[in-house]
Amino acid sequence: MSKTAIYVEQIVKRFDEVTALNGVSFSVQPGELFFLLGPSGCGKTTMLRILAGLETPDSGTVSFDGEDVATRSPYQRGAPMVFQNYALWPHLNVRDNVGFGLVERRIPRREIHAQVDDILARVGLKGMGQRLPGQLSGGQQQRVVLARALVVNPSIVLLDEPLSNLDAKLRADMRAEIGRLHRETDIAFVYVTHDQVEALSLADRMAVISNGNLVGIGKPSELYHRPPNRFCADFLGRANLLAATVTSVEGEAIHIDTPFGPWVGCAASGQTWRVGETVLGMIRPESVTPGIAPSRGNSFKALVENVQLAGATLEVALREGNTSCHATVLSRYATPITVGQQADWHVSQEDTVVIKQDEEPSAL
Amino acid sequence: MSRKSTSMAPHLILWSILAFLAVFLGWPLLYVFRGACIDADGFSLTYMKALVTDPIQLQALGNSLTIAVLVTTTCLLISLPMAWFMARRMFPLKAIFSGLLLVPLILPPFVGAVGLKTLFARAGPLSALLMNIGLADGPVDWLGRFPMLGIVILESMHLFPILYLNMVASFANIDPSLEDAAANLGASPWRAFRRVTLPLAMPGIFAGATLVFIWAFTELGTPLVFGLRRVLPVMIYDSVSEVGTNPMGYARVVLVLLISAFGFWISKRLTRRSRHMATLGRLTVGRQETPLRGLPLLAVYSFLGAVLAMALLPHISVLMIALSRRWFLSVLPQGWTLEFFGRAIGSDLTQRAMTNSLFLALTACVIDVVVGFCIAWLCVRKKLVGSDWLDTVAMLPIAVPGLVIAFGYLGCFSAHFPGSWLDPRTNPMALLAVSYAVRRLPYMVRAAHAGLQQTSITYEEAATNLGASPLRVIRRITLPLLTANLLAGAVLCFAFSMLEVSDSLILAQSEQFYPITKAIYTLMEGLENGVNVAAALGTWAMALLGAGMLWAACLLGKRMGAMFRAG
Ligand SMILES: Nc1ncnc2c1ncn2[C@@H]1O[C@H](COP(=O)(O)OP(=O)(O)O)[C@@H](O)[C@H]1O
Ligand SMILES: [Mg+2]
Repeated sequence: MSKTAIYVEQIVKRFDEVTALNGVSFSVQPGELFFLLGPSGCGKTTMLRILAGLETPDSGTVSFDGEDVATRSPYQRGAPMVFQNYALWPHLNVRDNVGFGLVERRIPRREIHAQVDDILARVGLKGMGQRLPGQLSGGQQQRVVLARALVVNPSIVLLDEPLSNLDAKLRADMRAEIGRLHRETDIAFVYVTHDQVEALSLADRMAVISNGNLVGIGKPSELYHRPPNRFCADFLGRANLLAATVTSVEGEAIHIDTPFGPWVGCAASGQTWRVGETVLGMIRPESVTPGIAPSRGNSFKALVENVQLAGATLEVALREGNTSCHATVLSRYATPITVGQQADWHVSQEDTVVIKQDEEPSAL
Repeated sequence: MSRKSTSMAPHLILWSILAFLAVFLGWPLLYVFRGACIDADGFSLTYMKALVTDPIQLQALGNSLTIAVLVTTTCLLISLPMAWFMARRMFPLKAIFSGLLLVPLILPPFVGAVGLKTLFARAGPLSALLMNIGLADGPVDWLGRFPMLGIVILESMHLFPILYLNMVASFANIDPSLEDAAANLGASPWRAFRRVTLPLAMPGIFAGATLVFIWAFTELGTPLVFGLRRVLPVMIYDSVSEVGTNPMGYARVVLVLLISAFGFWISKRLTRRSRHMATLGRLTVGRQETPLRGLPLLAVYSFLGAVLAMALLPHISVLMIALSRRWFLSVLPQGWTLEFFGRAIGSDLTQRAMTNSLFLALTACVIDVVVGFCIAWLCVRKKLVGSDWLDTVAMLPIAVPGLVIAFGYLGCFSAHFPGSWLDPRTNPMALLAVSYAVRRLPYMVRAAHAGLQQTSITYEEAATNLGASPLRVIRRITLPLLTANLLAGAVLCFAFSMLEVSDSLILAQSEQFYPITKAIYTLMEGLENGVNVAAALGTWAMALLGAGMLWAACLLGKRMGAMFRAG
C-alpha cells in the first residue's frame, strides 16, 4: 500500500571546497506535495538536480519506486523539472516547447497535438500555442514550464523555486494554481523554495535544509508549532526564545524554569531530556495572549514596552527584567493594551515548545 | 551500458579531432622544420644561416620586414583616432560607418592589387591625371620608383580594420570612471586618454598590431601581382618547383614561422599580464558618449570618408578595368564594354576555376562547421581532459601563416603519398579543401564558442530532463540555438576560402584544379586583355563574396567584429 515514490538516502555532494549536501535522507510518498525549504545556498537546487540525474552525488542513493536510479541516464529518469529560470527554448513556440517531451517519447503526432491542447487548456493558455516564449509574460511562461513538465504524464515532477521570478500578486495566484494542479493529478511534486509561507501553505510534508543538512521534516503544522530545533523555529516564522532549564519531565510534559517563572511545555518527539539541562523555551508571538491562563497555561507578568499597529494585528513588545518577548494580538478599536502598563499574559502548554540549545542544529 | 557508450563518445570525438589536427597541422609544421635542418648529410643549419648572411636573402627578409613595419605603422595611424572617436563619441550615421569599416577586410587585396597596379601604371590614370593638371610633364613610373608603395597602401587599407576592431574592444572594456577619475584630478580629456586609457588598452592594441604585422609579413598575393619578387613570401612561392630537392624553401618557411611565432609569443605575454589590469577596470557605470557636432564632426566625416575611399579605390578600379575597352594615358577608360564579364565566365579555365573554388569553399565550410562545433562543444560543455589543448591547437592557425601550411602540405604529402589523392601534384583538391578548412577553423571555433557561452546550459538540461538523449539534445536544442553563430562562421569561412591566395597558388599546380585566385593570376600573366578578364573574374568573385558577407553580417550583427580579435 505505502509504495515509496522517492527514497533518498545519505546523499553527500561536494563542489571543490563547498559541501552542498551533507548526508541528506528523506522519502516522498506517491502523489505527495513535498517541500524542500531552506535559505539560499543551502543545497536545495543541488538536491533537486541529483533527483533529476543532472548532478551525480558523491555518495548515497536515490531510488524511485524501490529501484536505484544511479544507473539511469538523466534522460531516462522520467522526473521532469520546472527550472528556476524556466529554460523555455527560445527557438520553439509554446506548442513545441510543451510537446518536446512527448516527441522524445515517440508519441504519434496527432496524439501529441491533442495532449498539448489539453494541457494548455488546463493551465489556462488556450490559444497561445503559436507564441514564442519571448512574447509571453512571466506568469504565462511559468504556466508553459508547468505544462511542459506535466504533459509527459510523469509520476514525479520537480519544481525549483517556480515562483521566485514573479511579483507578489502573481505569486499568490500561481501558488494556488500549483496547489490545484497537484490536487487534480496523482503526481508527486518535489517543490523547492526559500519562502516558508509557500511551503507552509501548500505542503503535505516538508523538509527543512540548512547548510547541506536536513534539520527538520514533517507536516507543516507539526514543524511550525513543534520545531525540533532553533533553526526550524526561526526559519519557519517569528519565535520568542527564552533561556530555560529543565526541572522535571512527566511523559509529554516538560517542566522548565524560565525568566518568567516555572513553565510547562512540550517538544517535538524523539528527543530525550535531562533534568538540569539548559534549553530554550520557544513561543510564537501569536500564541502569547493577554490575561491570566484559564487553567493549565503558563502565565506571566510583563511590562508593555511598545505597541505597534500592523493593521489586522498589534505587535506588542514585552519585557521582564532582561528578558524581552513579542506578542501578536488581534487589533480592536478599543484595545486595553497601552505602553508602560504592567500586565498579565499567558501561553498554553501546547504552544510552549522546549528545544535543544545547541548552536549548530544536528542533522536528523 | 548505454550510459557507458554515451560517455565514451565525447572522448572519441576529442581524440579524432586531435588526430586530424596532428596530421594536417602538426605534421606539416614538423616536416618543414625537418626539411630546413636536415639534408643528405644529416643535421645542418647551413640553410638557415644562409638566409641571414647571403645578401640576396637578407634583402628579401629586409624588404618583407620593411613592408610589415610600414603597413603596421600606417594601420596604427589610421586606427587609433578612428577607434577613439568610434568608442567615445556619438554622431549621426555612426552605426553605418562602423559596418562599412569592416568592408575593406572582406575585399581581397589580391584582386585589389590588380586594380591598384593599373592605377599606378606608367601609362595609367594617375599619371594621366597628374599630366592633365600639369603636375607632371610625362608619365611617371610609380611602381618602378617606389616598388613598395602599392603593396603598403593596399595591405594597410586591407588590414587596418583588424587593428581598429581590437582597439575599439579594448577601449570599450575600460571603465569610463577611470577616465573620470583622471579628469577629476585635473587631466584634460586628451591627457586622460593618453595617461589612463591608452596604457590600459595597450595589450589589446599590441595584439591587433601583431596580427597585422604577421599578415603583412606573410602576404603572398599582393607582392606577386605587383611583381616585387624579392620578398620572403614570393621567394617561397618561387621555391615550390624545387620543394623536394632544395632545402632553401623549407628554411625560408621556417624563418617566416619563427618570426610569426615570436610576435605572437610577445603579444600573448602582454595579454597575460594585462589580465590583472583588466580586473581593475570592470564596467561599473554606463558609458557616456559625447555627441559630436560642428567642425569636429566634419573632420570625422572627412577622415572616415577618405579612408573608406582609399580602401575601396583599388576594388572600384578593378570594376572599371573589367568594364573598359581601352584605358591608356587617360583618367577614365576610353570606351566601355561588357565583353570581359562574358569572357570571365565563358572560358574553360574560368568556369573550372569557379566550380573548383565553389566546391572547395563549400567543403571547407562543412569541415569547419562540424569540427568547429565539436571543438567548441567539447571545450564549453564537456570540459574533458585534453579539451584545453584542443582549444589551443585549434587556435594555432591564426599564428601560422597560410604560406607555411601550404608549403608543408606540398612537402610532406607529396613525399609520403606520391600519386595518391593526398598528393597535391596529382590532385590537390583534398588538400586544398583541408588547408582552407584548417586556416579558417579558429574563426569557426570562436563563433561556436561564443554562441555556446551565450546559451544557458539549462536549455540543454531541460531537454535531457524531458527525455532527450545527448545526440537528440544537440540536434533539437543546441544546434538550432546556435544557427546564427554557425551560419555566420560558415559564411566567413566560405568567403575567405573563395578568394584564398597562398594555399591556392602553391598547392594547385595543374590548370584543371585551379581555384579562382590562381586563375586570376594566370590570366593576368596571359596576353590579349588578360588583365581585363582577370579583373572581370575578380569582380564576379567579389560580388559573390559581398552577398555572402552581407548575409553573415545580418545574421551576426555586432558580434561580427569579435571574430577578428587577436586575444
Ligand atoms: N556547479 C557548482 N559548482 C560549484 N559549487 C556549486 C555548484 N552548484 C552549487 N554549488 C554550491 O553549492 C551550494 C548549494 O547550492 P544550491 O544547491 O544551488 O543552493 P540553493 O538552491 O539552495 O540556493 C552553494 O554554496 C553553491 O555555491
Ligand atoms: Mg537554487
